[in-house]
Amino acid sequence: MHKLPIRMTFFYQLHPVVSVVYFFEAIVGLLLFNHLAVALTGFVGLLLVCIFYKGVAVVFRQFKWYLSLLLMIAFFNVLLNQRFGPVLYQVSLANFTFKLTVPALIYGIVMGLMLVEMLMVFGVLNAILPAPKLVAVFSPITPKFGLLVVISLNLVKTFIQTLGDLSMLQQTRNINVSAGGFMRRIKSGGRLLRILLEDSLASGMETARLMDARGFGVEKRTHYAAYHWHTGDWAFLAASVVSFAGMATSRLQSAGWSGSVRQFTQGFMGQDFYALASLGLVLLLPLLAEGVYRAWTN
Amino acid sequence: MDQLIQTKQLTFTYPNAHIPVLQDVNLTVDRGQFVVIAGATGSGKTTLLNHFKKELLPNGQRSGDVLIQQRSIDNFSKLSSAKTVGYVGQDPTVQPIMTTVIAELAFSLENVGVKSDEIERRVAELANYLGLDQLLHHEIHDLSGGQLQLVNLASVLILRPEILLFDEPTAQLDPLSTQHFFDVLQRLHQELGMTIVMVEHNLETALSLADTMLLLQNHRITFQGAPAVGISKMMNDPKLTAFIPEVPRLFLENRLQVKQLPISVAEGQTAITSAGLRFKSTITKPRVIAPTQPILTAKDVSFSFDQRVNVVDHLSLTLPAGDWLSIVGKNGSGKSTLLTMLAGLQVPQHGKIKFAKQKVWKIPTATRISELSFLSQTPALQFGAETVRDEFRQQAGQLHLGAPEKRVKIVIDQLHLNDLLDQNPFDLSSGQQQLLGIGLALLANPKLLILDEPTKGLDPAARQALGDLLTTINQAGTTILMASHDMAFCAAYSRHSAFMFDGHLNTILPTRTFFSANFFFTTAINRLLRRQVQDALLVSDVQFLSEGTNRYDK
Repeated sequence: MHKLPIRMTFFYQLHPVVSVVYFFEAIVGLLLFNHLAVALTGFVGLLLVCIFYKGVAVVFRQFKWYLSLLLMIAFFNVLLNQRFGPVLYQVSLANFTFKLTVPALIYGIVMGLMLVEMLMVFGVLNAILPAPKLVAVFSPITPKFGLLVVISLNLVKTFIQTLGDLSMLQQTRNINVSAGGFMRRIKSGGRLLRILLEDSLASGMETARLMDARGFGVEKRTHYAAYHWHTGDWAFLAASVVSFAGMATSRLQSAGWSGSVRQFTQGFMGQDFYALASLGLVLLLPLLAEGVYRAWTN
Repeated sequence: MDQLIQTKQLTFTYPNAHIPVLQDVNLTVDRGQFVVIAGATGSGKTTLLNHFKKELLPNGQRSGDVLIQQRSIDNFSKLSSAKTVGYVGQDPTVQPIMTTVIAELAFSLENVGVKSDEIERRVAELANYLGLDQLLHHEIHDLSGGQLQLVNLASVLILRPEILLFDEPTAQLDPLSTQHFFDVLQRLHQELGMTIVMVEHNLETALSLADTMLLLQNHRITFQGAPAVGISKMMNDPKLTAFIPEVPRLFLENRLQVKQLPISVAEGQTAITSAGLRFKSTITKPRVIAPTQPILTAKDVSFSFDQRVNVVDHLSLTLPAGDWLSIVGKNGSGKSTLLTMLAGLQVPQHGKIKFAKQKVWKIPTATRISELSFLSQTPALQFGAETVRDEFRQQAGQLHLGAPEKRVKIVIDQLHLNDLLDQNPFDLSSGQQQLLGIGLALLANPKLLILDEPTKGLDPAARQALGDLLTTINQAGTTILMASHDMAFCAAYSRHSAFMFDGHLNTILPTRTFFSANFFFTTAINRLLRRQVQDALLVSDVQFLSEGTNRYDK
């Protein structure tokens, strides 16, 4: 399937405030439930969303990292939760007995899935809400803070790039952070950091001078509202709030939530259907909106 | 006349300096003038320019008056200053603050309290005027040097200043980006009547657009008037002859009497045609050099930063020992990436690079730097000591030189760095940093010298001295590989040249054949005289033969 450029998607074109509200709802939604069926629903929903907005290749590349995280969390949960049953497998060595229990296994998988889901949400957030859009949300409230965030982000980017260039070019001075003994590497790293600071300070001073020359600090800064509200923004916002309300209601009715590891004995429990449906709706809302948006195009 | 800038008896001395850098400077810039300030390095050009904007005023002892719009610069509020005088510096990467082009353009207007609707209107108008409309949502980090400098200009221009100040704005751009930038300045000057004051080493294009030239000599203004007259005056000062652009130099050196000294290629052609001037070639047959063993080979080398596009794509190269190969090409064409790989500083994803029959990146760093030296286009990132003297000492120590003090002294003398020895390398001007970087590269007396933009930031006199020095070193057996935007330098000194395009090097040709076969990427003299002397690249390649009948008055 040919991937649509992200800038052409409905989700990307949403007003940043709507996107921020949506991601807040999605993140809270993922924290509201801890049953396996709901976690799996969340994972499948987010997988579809990630594939649509980031492409199969990117998702596959990240998936390998996610899988290793999931397995590690499941492993440690299984290792540390020995109390409840039923027991699937047991082995004793001297005084130590290891029990592989169903609740521990399910709980570990759920915890792993929840972390992976959170990473997936932040991955989509990063693609849909790049720094300038995020700053645009906060700038009207605190313009100085917004600007500070932008400058800091740029600084980090420049730092990383310069550090890469430095470690490459300092080889011409026989300084190599990836060669030699431990102390030598520490010394080389220290030298790089000192040069990085000196260079950054010099260019930072010049940048500040040029900011000054363009009137920075003259009077109260205004804010350029680069994003405008459209009907689609209101519609998406309303739909997401309603879906979120449904999700919160189902949680209040104890759907999709267990207070103890002991209760994690099956994949699908009690009123999970409501939790599953409401979370699924919230997570798939961008895809549904894309469909409606496409249906409306001439 | 509407006087926008005036200085009266301006004298300025930097702290701890004994001699004023500016002395009794009296000048006037009227509305709508395009002024270029010329002068040798250290003559005070940038210091003078910085006196025209309050926020850029240097620290030091100042006497005399600086008036902007007939008001003392000291009485300017920050707001008036931002709205009256705009400034664009040399390094395009230092000015931007925001992450996208549209946010960068809005930044200046947000500073001075312009409302959102008005910001949008001004951004829309300016972006369309300068052709930036397609770049508005691009990330600043993704722009080329030429695009970035245009955005810097736009972010100043959006405040609608009365005066635009430029300090060598094209020093880091490739020839086509430079030309595009000057085209924009010409439009601003001609269509909007903008007043422009510029400091520039590369006078060829700047003076062809300017209507006024200021000449700074020995810290004083010795000339203010038409560029053609000013250039003739420069011919009398040995310190400034190297600054004279190629086209007027052709006329001055051959003592050709024309009504007005031409500066641009077009003016030169008009003068030649009108006067029926004829030139003959003085080019001697190049010395035939016996083929040598390759010192460096690259085979099918590919490199990608993002795993999507190969910046260097299946490139192969054989560099014979003793050669001097120049690589030209646009900003972002992959020249620098290629050079870092050939120097063993980066490992290509595909292909092999061999220096002295070993994979270059596998040679231990200490051994490699004693045989192969590299100068980056940002030499400051190769520094690390507190003083220039210590930089040389440290490098001599790393190279385990036999007689380090003697070798250091030779290199310092060759590059005339004696006056800078106690200075911090990071406080040097870009040209001085360049010379220090070259000095550190030469210290090893390497078999192979790889130079990335060696003439960046150097004034024409220093550039000529560097060319002569590198020629001597090359003749003594050092192989030189160089990437440069400086066509005249490549044409004057290198033995072979090639074009970097689409990730690979086009056919490597002898320099004269290469440049005389080019149409755009060639020297001003070749563009001017290719119909008469097809392979002429430099003023020294031709000699005046005769005049026609329809010549100008003598």
